[in-house]
Amino acid sequence: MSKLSASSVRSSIKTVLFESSLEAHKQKNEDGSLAGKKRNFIETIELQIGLKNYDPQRDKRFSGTVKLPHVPRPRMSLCILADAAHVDQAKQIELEYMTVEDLKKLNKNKKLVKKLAKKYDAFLASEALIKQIPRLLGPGLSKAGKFPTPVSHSDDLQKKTIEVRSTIKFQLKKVLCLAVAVGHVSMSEDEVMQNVMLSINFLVSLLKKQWQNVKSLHLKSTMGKPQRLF
Amino acid sequence: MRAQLQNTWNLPSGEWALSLLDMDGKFVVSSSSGKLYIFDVSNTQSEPVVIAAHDSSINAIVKIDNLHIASCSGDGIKVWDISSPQLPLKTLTNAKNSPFLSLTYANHRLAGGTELAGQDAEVHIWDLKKDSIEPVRSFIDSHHDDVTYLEFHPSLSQYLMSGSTDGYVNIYDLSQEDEEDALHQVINFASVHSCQFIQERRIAVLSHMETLGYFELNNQDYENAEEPQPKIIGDVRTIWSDCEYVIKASPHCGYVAYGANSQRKLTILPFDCEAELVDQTQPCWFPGAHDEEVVRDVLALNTNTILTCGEDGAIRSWVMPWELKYKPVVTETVKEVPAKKESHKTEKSKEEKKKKKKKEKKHRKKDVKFKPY
Repeated sequence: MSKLSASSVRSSIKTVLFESSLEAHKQKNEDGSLAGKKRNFIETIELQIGLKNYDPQRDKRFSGTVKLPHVPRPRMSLCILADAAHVDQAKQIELEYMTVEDLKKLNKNKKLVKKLAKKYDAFLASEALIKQIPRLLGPGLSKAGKFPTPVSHSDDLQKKTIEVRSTIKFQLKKVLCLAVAVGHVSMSEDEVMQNVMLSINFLVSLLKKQWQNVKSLHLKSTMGKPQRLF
Repeated sequence: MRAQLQNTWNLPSGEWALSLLDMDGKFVVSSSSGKLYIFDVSNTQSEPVVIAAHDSSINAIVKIDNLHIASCSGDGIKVWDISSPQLPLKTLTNAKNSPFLSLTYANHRLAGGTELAGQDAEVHIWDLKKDSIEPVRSFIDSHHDDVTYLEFHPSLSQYLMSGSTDGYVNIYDLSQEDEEDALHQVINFASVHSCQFIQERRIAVLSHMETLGYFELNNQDYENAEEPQPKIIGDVRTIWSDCEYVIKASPHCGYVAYGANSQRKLTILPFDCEAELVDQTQPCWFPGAHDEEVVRDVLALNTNTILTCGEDGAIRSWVMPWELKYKPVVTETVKEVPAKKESHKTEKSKEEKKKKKKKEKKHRKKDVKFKPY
């Protein structure tokens, strides 16, 4: 079904990684200019999708999440709202945690809950506490789009944090394009490849006319040039 | 087994037929042009009554009674008397004039959910018995994105459920007066296509990722999580044959409907909402469906007559090869009374809260007094 040739995607990934890699800084183009520039941070690799035959006024807008095989955002900050057992586990894997007592101290104060929501990129919570969380914190975490993912005692907490960090979200809004972070430049070519292919196939499967709705696909590192995949 | 096509009605070319309502011998269809059309079920030749309801595509319609409906779009919510539809009976908006995406109605209460506007995706409830166009309840701060689905609990009248593309299903306890206290339960699942009460304490959620899950409505004993685990069915496209997208689940009429527009297919499977089972051994196919276009709504007029409408602008009626098994809708409305022990607890916690609030106030005052700079 896929209309993408794996070899052309691979060569685009190579270009993206090469242009942002250290070697590129030393190499020069034919005209003598530098082929790349050193950045002081790890660039994110973004997939950009242009849509066609889609009417944002009449077609349903949606969002979707998908778990990628390799963590695209390793530095995403997490916090677990933990019961006693999870506090111990969190300590072991150096995951930040808060207890019910900590949450009670916030006193449902809107500003404090907002501050908490801003402090982390995502939250986990012990399954047994999920029921209490709207009572303890009010709607603040939902408003921020950060209501916790439940974790049970039988789940491996470390694995669960990797799962949350591997999950990406794309949103189809009123505009005919969408973009999503699928990796970063210190990943290997194969890792980027697997993340890119999975993201594209999943998104396209949710479009109402699949590939007929895809106008263009580009891959781009934060500071790099966009590479066309489709 | 195949359903047999009976009749076809067509909207003017270029318009999409989005949703259907059964109005006792007539049916209403909403269009992407902002118009509402009222057709006669038994007569395909008669001209429809046309209501120029909105300027842009109609996002949702809901039946109030056999004469009244409400519709919503980019310009807010309008309530109509379909026997004299020249002007709306009421026009309802929020302060920001946000586009409204979802509607539900029960016992004089009309609820509407908005698109995300700025930071807010809002839910408002109006009491249609009142003359005022001011909402009686508002939830401004409970969602992060478009509110796509709303439903009042069929028997426990204090609960309202909202679903959003932010991936959450929120359940509000309307007996709590403050928005901060009203959020009873949050189900963190996936971008919500629909969320429905399928039994008194059971909820079915369908997502835009075509996943299905069953969840328990929590009781009010918040400190003890004794509810059963959610039952996550997963991506139904991998389970039901010829499924590319789910159109809807109707727990009370006992079916799920889904389509595969690339294969021009539409299928209905029996859905037992008590057993939470979809029976794949008894599919009903609708030959040709709506061609290669997406089917937007399916409506059972009775146990073997189905109306369908889609993005080809057509509305079709079909006779099913087997009868749907209707489950009675729980209509008796009661208020959930917490068990004695619980009520004691909540009272206690209320008192505690009051004390805390007092304390907090004192602290604040102190802070003001002792602010050294």
